[in-house]
Amino acid sequence: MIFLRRQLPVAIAFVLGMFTLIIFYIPAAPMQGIGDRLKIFVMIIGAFAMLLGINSILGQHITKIRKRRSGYGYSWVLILGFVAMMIAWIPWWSAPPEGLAVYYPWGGLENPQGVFYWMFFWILVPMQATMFSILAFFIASAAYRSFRAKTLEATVLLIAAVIVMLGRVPLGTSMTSWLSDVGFWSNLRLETMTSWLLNVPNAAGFRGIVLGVALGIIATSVRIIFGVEKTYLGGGD
Amino acid sequence: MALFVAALILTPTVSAAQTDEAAISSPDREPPPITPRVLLEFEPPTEIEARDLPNDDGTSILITWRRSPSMPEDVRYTVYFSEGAAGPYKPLPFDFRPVGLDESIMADNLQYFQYRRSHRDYQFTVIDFTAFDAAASGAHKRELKEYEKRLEEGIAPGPEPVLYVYDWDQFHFKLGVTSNSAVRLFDPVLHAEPVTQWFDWSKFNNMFMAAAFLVVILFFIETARRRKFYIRRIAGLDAVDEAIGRATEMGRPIFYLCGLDPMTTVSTIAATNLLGHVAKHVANYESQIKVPCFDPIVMSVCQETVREAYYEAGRPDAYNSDNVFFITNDQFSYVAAVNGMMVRERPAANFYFGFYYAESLLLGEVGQSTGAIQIAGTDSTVQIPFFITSCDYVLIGEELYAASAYISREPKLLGSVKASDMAKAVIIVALLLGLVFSVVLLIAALGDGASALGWLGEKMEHFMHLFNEHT
Repeated sequence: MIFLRRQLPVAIAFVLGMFTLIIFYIPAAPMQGIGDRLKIFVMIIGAFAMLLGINSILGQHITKIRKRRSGYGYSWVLILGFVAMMIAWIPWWSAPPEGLAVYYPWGGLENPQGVFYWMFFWILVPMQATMFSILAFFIASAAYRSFRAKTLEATVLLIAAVIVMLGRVPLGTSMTSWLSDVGFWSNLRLETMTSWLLNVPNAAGFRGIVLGVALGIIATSVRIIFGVEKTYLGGGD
Repeated sequence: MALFVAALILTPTVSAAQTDEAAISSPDREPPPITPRVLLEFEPPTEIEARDLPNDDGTSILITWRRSPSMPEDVRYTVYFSEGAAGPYKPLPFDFRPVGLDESIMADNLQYFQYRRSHRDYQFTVIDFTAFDAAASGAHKRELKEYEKRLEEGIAPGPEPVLYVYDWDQFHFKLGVTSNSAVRLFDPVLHAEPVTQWFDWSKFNNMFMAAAFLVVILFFIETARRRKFYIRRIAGLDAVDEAIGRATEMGRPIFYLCGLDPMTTVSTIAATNLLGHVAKHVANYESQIKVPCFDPIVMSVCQETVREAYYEAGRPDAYNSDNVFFITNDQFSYVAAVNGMMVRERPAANFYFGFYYAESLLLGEVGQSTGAIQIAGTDSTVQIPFFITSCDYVLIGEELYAASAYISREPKLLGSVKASDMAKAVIIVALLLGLVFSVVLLIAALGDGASALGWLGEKMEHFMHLFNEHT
């Protein structure tokens, strides 16, 4: 049992990890073909795992309805939405002769007259857009909290943010457009300061983080491939 | 009028005499009545060569040339092919790939582009032989469809279409220029056979560095068995216990999110590693952890990780598999669901580990509004500022990967963190050397240039080129 739960997964991780690492350096078609096959395995596992996911979410909400937990009405909405989308997507009718635009009377995403198309583009997409648009308000609230000049760091952040914000819009750049665009005074133009802030201190910090991340990824991969890190198998080390 | 007619007759003759070049034909394989003067009045490109594309799977060749200095802007290069040196030369059966300049093929094979002389004078195109087969297959499918349609309609279909198979060994090419559907082809006839490569030499430096780093990691892992390593304090990870304790005192759950990337991403693996440690603490504190998942595979791994953590903590009875659940793998639907749960259940602590996209601020701000203590850790450089504004503690970039080692204090894991630090030290030294050399070369350039520094200046320039050539 220990072999199946611990040693076998570590052995598989080692063999496949090393193999994937090695074929990165081998362009020959036979090796790349095996690599492509491995990627297909990931997709197949993903497809089966989706069944587990559906089982999980439906199980959660069916239990909620059965036990009449608070807000169980929303669980009905989820289950009905799930079933409706699934039924609408299935091409219930056989395809008409080739050349006709409408393949299914009301199913399928490619049919603009279909129910699935309607539900996808007129229910799901607007709801997604709504969630995304809330981001604008959250950015404002987060910016307000971050830019309060309580400390030296927050003050520097506030000044830098104001310069960058003004330097990215025509109204802001017009404020310093009277300064010469050559020589020393050009450095005080808002768009020049914005470019400097983004390309020098910001890019330096960004690259530092990226270097650290790259090394961290390699170190973590080595730990997993060589079986040093086994927490992902469950429990401790 | 007579002069005009004479010009029409004479122009191709003169051009053929001047250029002594082969076919002049249009892409529709019909010879054009006149070759526009614009195609004849400039010097042809030189050093036209074909060779096997290095470091590939044996399906492509590379055609390089030194561009004509006098070519007008509205004239474009093209390549014609033939299955035999004698011709006839036809247009490629697929879209001709525009000539590249600053591409990795050029950067990785500088010897073909005379980098040190003036690489911008040298241009290239890659001819992928599989594209010929793909075009033949596409044409065959279309013909077969037409054939079947004719059969259905009762029209005499003619012979059944046969898939044309190109003989790669017989491929010959000619470089040409084109303007307004007229073409001028240049000698020489080009021929090269693609060869399968079993090692990509352009990745040799990558392999060397990876192997060196691997040795360093294994060395430090081995050393860690005998020696205790110091690892600096990470405030975000120290606060994990505090957050779990707070949740226990308040009797509210903890939300743990593993990001939106699949299990194949290292940051997600790091997040699940950390989940094992957090879940064990939660089990010890007899608190409750909820893990809403974006990916079903991640959900399965998280269920197993949390279950094992509860077993290790000696609390298997407290484990509830319903607390690790899948929501959806649609980004904003996931955010809506998690935010809804946050507002309804008012978790005492939220952990955001893994890779995030635009939802980072949506999650962080809603969590902030519910008064939860929030700890985030991501290697998504774009999202780090959003987490910093909305969370109490943030693990920045590599700290996420070191988290598992930091919490477990396992010597072997700490060894690999130490190896990363050593690699960083090497990079910092290289950066500092680059800085010093560039300043010295800049000062030297004010005088007599790098030659004033003798061999030292040359070495400095070489060092700088090592890092600049691939940028």
